[in-house]
Amino acid sequence: MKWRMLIGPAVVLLLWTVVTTAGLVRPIFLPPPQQVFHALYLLAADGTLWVDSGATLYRTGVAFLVAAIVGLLIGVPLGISARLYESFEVVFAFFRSMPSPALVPLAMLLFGISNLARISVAAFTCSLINAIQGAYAVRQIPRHRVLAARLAGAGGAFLLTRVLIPSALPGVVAGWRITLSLSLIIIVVTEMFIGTRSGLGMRIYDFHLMFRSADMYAVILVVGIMGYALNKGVEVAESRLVHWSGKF
Amino acid sequence: MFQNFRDVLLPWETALDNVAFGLRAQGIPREVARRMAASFMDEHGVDFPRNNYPYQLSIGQQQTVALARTMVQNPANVLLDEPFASLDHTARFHMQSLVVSLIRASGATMVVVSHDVDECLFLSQELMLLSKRPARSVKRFPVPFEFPRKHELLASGEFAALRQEVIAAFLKEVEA
Repeated sequence: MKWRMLIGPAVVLLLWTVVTTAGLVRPIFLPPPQQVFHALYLLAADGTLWVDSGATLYRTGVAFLVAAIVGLLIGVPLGISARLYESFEVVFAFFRSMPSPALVPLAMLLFGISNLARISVAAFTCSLINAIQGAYAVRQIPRHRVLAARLAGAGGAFLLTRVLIPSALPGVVAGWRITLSLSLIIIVVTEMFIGTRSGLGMRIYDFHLMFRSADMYAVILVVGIMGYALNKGVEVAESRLVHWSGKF
Repeated sequence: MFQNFRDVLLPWETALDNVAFGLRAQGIPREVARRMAASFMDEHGVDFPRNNYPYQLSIGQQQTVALARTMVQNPANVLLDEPFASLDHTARFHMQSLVVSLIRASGATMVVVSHDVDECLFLSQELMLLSKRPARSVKRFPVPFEFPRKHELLASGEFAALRQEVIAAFLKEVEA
């Protein structure tokens, strides 16, 4: 890690400290860092932080996995058949572009106030993104690569596993990178609106209603760290799994 | 062999594995194919790092890999479609020599499609000039130069004379 990467966070922390200790903002809007870190410590010590983080991660993970599987099941046929793709392009583009919080009340109507309602909203939108990514990845397989492999004598399972799947993989993995972040975003939003007793989104909203600003900031910080860690993790995984992605 | 050999190579396989791919596609087990590919590359003086991925190789090296992948299969016929269009001059000369030596060593019949008269004359034993669409054979030129050929040939008088003849026929065809 380059030490310069630490400068930015240090500057932000310093500004935060200066602004709050100088009394430029009221603590209800922005409490000083030591209060937030203390609140974080207490939340971690009494265990609620871990329960909430676990619940949010679990929902995000399930939504991500479901979306990855459903996305492939829809995306691959769409990628193979140009006619199918053209027929459904508008439908997919429409639902993919729809802001997912708009679907929250519908999900509650269908599935009640449950994990299923929360996960289904995230999984729905992310499935469509994966499907479009997957279809695109399949369509983008270089024609000459397949032709040359066939000329070389490749066919059947060998062609599929050695040429076709690795050719489509970078595009599919790019979809996973997008949808992992998006799953977390949507899950946190739904936790605020679909009643639950656990989850970081619900906790942030609760602390907000109780005017417990330091606690609210502490949980926001945790969500931020979680998002950052997921992104970094998927970036590292991507550079290992499809190291050739985007290179010539 | 296609003009866009960069599409043809598998970016997730090393240079060696790309060459071995030609053999594995014919059902030869991986380790055997790798050994055969390595000895093929040794024989023909392929001297760049074999464990590099295509994106870590120069264009000329990438093409050498693509060519080796084809030739390692020991084909009876090889079709090269504008094979060196994207190479710089030095790499092009190098690849032309490599192609000639590979083809001569294997005894395969090679058909090259190219718009570069020098290249056609250097590589071939016979040049066929094709017309505009729909393509038909306009004229055939036997190319009598002895193998092994060196690029000094391009500066010789006989080469210039034959070249002149081909270009005259070509101009007649395009202006017709």
